[in-house]
Amino acid sequence: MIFEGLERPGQEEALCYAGLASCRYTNEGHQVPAPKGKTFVVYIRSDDVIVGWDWEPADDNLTYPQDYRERFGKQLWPTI
Amino acid sequence: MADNLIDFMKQLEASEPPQFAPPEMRYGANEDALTVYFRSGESYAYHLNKAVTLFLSFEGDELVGCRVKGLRRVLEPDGKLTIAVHRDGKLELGLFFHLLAYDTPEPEPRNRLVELGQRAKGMELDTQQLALSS
Repeated sequence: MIFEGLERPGQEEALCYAGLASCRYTNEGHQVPAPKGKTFVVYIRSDDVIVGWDWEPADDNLTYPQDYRERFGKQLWPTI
Repeated sequence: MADNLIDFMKQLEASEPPQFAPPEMRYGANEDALTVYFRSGESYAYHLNKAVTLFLSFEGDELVGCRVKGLRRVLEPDGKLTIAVHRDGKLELGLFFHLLAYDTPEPEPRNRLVELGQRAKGMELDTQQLALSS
């Protein structure tokens, strides 16, 4: 899913892409299973620059980032 | 500089990884964010509050590091924090996190901020990077 707005000044048009990844890679480059209860997020500025990515705790549905209702302005995709 | 993502990935694979010897910190003026690593190890991001994100280990949720977003904004609203932790041109990170804890009533985030304060004791950020107004 895609969220718009990071609920802080200057980040109203920034995007957050979140989703379940099939695996993760260790610092040594080894492929291991994705961590349980986590979703992978990528943050993108309004000028299309990726500014960060992380594994984050997932909401109860295991896809949305935890506290997504408070942290993001609105959900762009899928539309609700 | 790479022209496309494929070239960029090839450059990354061919280059030596940057030296990383925690404890380390980096302040990014463009994003106004302070990133601190107390130790190495793989971690995930846990949003403690609007300003502070913790990096916790996948195994055991131990503190690996943290990021403070909008650091200038955290410091500047009323100047109190700046006066308390800004000394001799240095921001004392341990004291900074302890003061954030003091200002946080909820137990769980407060305890984590106290832990940050203990881990960051002795770490200092040159405030010239921040260009604080006060």
